[in-house]
Amino acid sequence: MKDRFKQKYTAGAAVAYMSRKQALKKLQLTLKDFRRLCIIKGIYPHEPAHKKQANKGSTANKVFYYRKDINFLAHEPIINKFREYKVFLRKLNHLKAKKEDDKIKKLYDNKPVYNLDTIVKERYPTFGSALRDLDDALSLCFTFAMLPHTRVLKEGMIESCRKLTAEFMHYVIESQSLRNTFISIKGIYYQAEIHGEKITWVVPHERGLPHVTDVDFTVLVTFVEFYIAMLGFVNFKLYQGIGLFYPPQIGQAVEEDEMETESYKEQVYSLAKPLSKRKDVEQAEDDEPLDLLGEDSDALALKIKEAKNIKSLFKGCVFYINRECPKEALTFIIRNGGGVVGWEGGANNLAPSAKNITHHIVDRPMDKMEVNRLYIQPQWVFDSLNARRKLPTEKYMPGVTLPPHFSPFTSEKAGDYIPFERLEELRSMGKDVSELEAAIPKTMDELPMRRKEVKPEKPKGIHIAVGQMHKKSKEKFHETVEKGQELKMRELMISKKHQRVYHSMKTQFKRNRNDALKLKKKAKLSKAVDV
Amino acid sequence: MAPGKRTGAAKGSRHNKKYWRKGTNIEEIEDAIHTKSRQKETGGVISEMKDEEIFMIDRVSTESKKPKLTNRQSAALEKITRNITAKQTSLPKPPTKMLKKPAKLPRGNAILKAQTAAKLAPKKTTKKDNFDVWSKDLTPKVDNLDNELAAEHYLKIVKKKQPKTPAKSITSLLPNVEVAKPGASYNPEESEYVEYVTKIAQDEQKLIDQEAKIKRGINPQWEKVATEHERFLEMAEGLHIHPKFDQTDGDDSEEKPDDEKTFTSEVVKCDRLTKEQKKKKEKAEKLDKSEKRRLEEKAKEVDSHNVYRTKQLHKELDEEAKRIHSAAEQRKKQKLLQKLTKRQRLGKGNFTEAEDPFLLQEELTGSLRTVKPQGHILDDRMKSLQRRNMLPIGGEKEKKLKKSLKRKIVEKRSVKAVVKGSRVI
Repeated sequence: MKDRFKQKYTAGAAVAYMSRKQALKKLQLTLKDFRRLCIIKGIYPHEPAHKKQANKGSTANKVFYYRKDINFLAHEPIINKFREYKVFLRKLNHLKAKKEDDKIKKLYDNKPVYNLDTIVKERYPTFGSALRDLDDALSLCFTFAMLPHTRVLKEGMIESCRKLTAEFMHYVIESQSLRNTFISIKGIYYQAEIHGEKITWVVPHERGLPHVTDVDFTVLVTFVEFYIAMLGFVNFKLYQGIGLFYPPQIGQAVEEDEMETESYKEQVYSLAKPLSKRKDVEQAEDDEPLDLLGEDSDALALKIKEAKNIKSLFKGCVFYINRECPKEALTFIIRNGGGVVGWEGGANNLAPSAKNITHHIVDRPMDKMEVNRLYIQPQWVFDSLNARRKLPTEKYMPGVTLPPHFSPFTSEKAGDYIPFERLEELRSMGKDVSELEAAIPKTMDELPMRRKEVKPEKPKGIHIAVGQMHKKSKEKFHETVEKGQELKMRELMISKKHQRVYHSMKTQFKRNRNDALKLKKKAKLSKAVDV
Repeated sequence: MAPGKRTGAAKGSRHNKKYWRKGTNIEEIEDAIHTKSRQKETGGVISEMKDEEIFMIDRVSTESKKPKLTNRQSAALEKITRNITAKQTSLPKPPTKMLKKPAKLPRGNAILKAQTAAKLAPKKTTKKDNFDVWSKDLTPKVDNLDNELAAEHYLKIVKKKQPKTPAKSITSLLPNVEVAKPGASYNPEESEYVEYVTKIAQDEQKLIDQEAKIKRGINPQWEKVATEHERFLEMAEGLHIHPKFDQTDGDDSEEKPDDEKTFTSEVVKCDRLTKEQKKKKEKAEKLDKSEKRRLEEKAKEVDSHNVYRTKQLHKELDEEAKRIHSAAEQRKKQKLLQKLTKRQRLGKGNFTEAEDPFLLQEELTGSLRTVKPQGHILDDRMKSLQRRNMLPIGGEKEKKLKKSLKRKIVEKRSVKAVVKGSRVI
């Protein structure tokens, strides 16, 4: 027999969702640990469609999670590690109060640590899915690499962020996959195409970041903690893909101890030197895996052409970077285009007077210049990458007001206003701009002039011309018109007393006529339907 | 011997030999043998009989004995039984707890040795080996279990293996990293810059307007608080200190403050209808009624004709159903899109849009060396995460109302304790 009365809140949204408080109670975790767990496991809150149902009658704005998700979280072994850590802290406190240093040391050696390997694989079952989520990871890690360490931000974390981001940039350089850059006042945006996936990230300016107050660092630190684990695996896989050693090696085979030294790290971080490749791996030729789906062959051809242009952008050029220029960004772009970079005291230790320098990047007024090299401002490098060709250097000479720096991330639509310079740039990139050009609204003076009728010139002096017949206008002098005019005149003569009556009569006539017309139409329609 | 009374050897403990020789009650044994032989003759020994032979079942239960299983449960049960019968399983022994050995006391130069060993030993490296997660099999395994299902079950019980991950839900379709607008370039094109900055200025103006509106709402519109001067004037009315006193009488009568507004509601007219109007109204009502009746009749007529239009009606209904279905689909799609592009309400707090950073025209130097970085990327990231529904936004904590009031102690003058040094008033 079926239940006659079904209890409320035993099915549907009331069961599918769980409030955060309930979740905490179920998992026996503190709010802080729960937040960490959710971020690490990639479990996000959801707003129920029927909030009142899910909230069992109340409409308070709570944080809701799927019950399934929370049940899944309950199986996570990391929860145990969180508890162990709690115990560890308590013990530490205890020993510190007792001032038992050797025991404290021992405790630190046995500090509970958790491993995120399985979670990385669980969240990103394929390498592609990890690549698709790389935007967030890179942006956060690049920013964290520049922060000073504090109580929340441990030194090890910042160090590994620095290491991983440098490794990633090395990969981009070696695979020459950087496509676009944009210097904004927030920071420098980069876009690379890796395994057919467009990856965009932002790097803050090298000027030192201002202090932020309204950002919850504990949350971001947890994100970064996970991203560090993930980025390590992604880097390894990427390096394997193009036959590089991981961890990266510069020059000859390097011992592991040497890798830990500051000077070696400095060399890696400077990006100036190429990485050595494994000999056992065949070097793949220039055929990139491209997604053929959803793109016509024209677009594909253009894409391949662009990639080729970028690869040979700065080939054979040697750049000297003056000390006031942002070295990392410039080295990254130049080496991505196949150029060679150096600066005084850097990894390559290029002297400013070296003979082989072709381009000298300067960002301040110069008084002494050498003849056999080109002097440019840093923007030239960025703009050249976006334009996929070496731009003429005249506009970028030191001391010259630079042309505007456009964003390559905007896609121009027909009908938008597009500045002349941008149009030129697009044209130079081999894009079809005729449509864009045609769609730009024209001002009065641009419009084609109305062609004036050419009047035959009047001959001067006495002359003879063919006579023309006088034509009486048919419209002007029609019978009815004349009649109407007469009527109007007569109407004017009506006394004011009768004028109103006359007008009302007239309107009635009009109305009747309209009614009649309508009825006639209706009748016709009904006849047509019946037949 | 009377039953229940034990004498002599029978009184003593029964496990001794003496009891067996002298104290045994032979009658009891004989009785037992007799009853048994009698039972054998009559039908059978009761203690050896089965339940069915002794008892009668007078009613059969209507319910089937087996508990009803759902399709799912029965399938699972079948699977388990099949596996068990196929292979005899043996669960691995649970790991026995290692007994801790008592710590050895350091002897001789053991302490010194340990110190030197610690010095010599290489620093503990926390570095882990690099490997490919995507090709390496990370699933845990049990060695001494041949049955696959049993192994899986074991791993799940000891929490080595995770259950299946719940379906991943996409929180948002927005891009992970939103690239700054072209107007935010460090060396922007003029028109783009103007467009970008005007947008920011408009947003700011909106904020200012809102604030002004709130301010206007707070201030009383027609009332005002009497100032000190006004109070004085009122008090001094009719006295010769009043500034009006010196003025000529004719002037002040004409003066009237302009800004003082009086509100008088307009007189509501409620004239009676004239005869003509009444007539007109009646006529109109009549017309209305007749028109309604006509329409009803017409509708009836049309309805009666519908019998002959069934084919067409069916077609129309089909079309209607199709239209409704497609509209529902469209709505569903729209709803999903809305959910994936809009911010959801997660938590008590309100989402505040990040302000776009900008540089003033004089701050745009056009050189990378002198550019002033604006905004903070971490702030941006945080907002992005919130916009993509990945983080809840906490609001202010609710203030709890105090249920019990605090006692206040007041020393009243009348009951103030008299101590040494207190003054008598």
